[in-house]
Amino acid sequence: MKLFCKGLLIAALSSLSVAARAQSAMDESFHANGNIRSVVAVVSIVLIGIFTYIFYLERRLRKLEKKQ
Amino acid sequence: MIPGGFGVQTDTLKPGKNEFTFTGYNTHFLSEKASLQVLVNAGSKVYYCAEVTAVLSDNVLKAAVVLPDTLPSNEFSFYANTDIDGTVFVEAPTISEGFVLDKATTKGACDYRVKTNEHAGFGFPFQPIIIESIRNLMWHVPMWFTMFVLMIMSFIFSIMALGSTKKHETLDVHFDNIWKHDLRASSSAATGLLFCILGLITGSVWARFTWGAWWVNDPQLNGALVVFMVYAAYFILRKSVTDEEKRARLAAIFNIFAFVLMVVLLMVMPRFTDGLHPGKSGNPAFSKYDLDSSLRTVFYPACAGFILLGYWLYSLNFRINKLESENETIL
Repeated sequence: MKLFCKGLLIAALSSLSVAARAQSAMDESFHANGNIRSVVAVVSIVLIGIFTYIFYLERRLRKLEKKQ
Repeated sequence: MIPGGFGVQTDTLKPGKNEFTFTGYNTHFLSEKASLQVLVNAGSKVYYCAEVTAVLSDNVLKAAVVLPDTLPSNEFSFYANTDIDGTVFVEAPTISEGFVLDKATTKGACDYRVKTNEHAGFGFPFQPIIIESIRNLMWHVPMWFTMFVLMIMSFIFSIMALGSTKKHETLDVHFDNIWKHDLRASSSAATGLLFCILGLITGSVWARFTWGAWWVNDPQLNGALVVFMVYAAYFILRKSVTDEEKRARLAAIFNIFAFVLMVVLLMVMPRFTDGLHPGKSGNPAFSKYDLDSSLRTVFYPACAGFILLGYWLYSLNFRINKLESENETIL
């Protein structure tokens, strides 16, 4: 589980750095690469959001399991 | 992405020879050099042939056009034709001086051949500024559709929670029912709120790229933020009441009002004012012209998928909520 959490953290950090890079590039040349960077940012936000929610549900489920 | 005109660089346009740089997107200027034709348009279907001086890459070319001193208009647009790409064009705001304007003149004009891009296959039409970010449509818009479906569910469960008083005579069954419906309503509202937050953030990112700011004063945006805060208040209200039956009733009534407010703010209000969201202001009967059919083939399955995902997340949330409150009552 710990290893899994670490992997998740690394994945999250790497996607954050993608978003950060997208932002710095966006300031340099605004419409370079046909705005495809905005799609990368949007997709990563949606995936991070939904996965965070799923993990939040999982954590609550684990608490219930421990109680029983 | 179907080819399109990206931009034009030019000095002040004057009568005589003018040089400019034309940038296309996904075009084939270099490989289709033989069929390349560049034109400058000055209003009312009068075209001036430009001579291609250099093709720098598939997307960039330099050309020179000789303009007469009399023009029908000083609003210029730039065209490039190739056999593969068809006609791509840029409507560039340019500065011009020294021209005499005469609407009827055709002096110095040349023939214009229209080309359609037959080889494009499946692709999205080119839109300036939006360009590839049109793909966000498949992520950002389904967020709101999913939120809407979940909030409709929440609204129905709230009505059921209020209505369950009359159906059941014994108090135990009634309490069980109102509790269950209330829990369903709050679970689906919570999941809907997740999609609302995602919709807000993704919309903000998209706006930064295409509209130039993280937040703009669009009726749709402000409405969405108000809806977010109203539903956040719904959960604060739930937390603040300890008595279960009272909480269920209060929350249900609040939720019904919140839903009506959401419909008004997101569906009705934007129609009365002009906003930046495409297809939102004015008559919805014309909305079929807003979205290309190639986009629809991806957009509708994406919406269906996200709505199903939203429903699944809701059912997980509800089941966990139910277990949690059952555990609390046992303990």
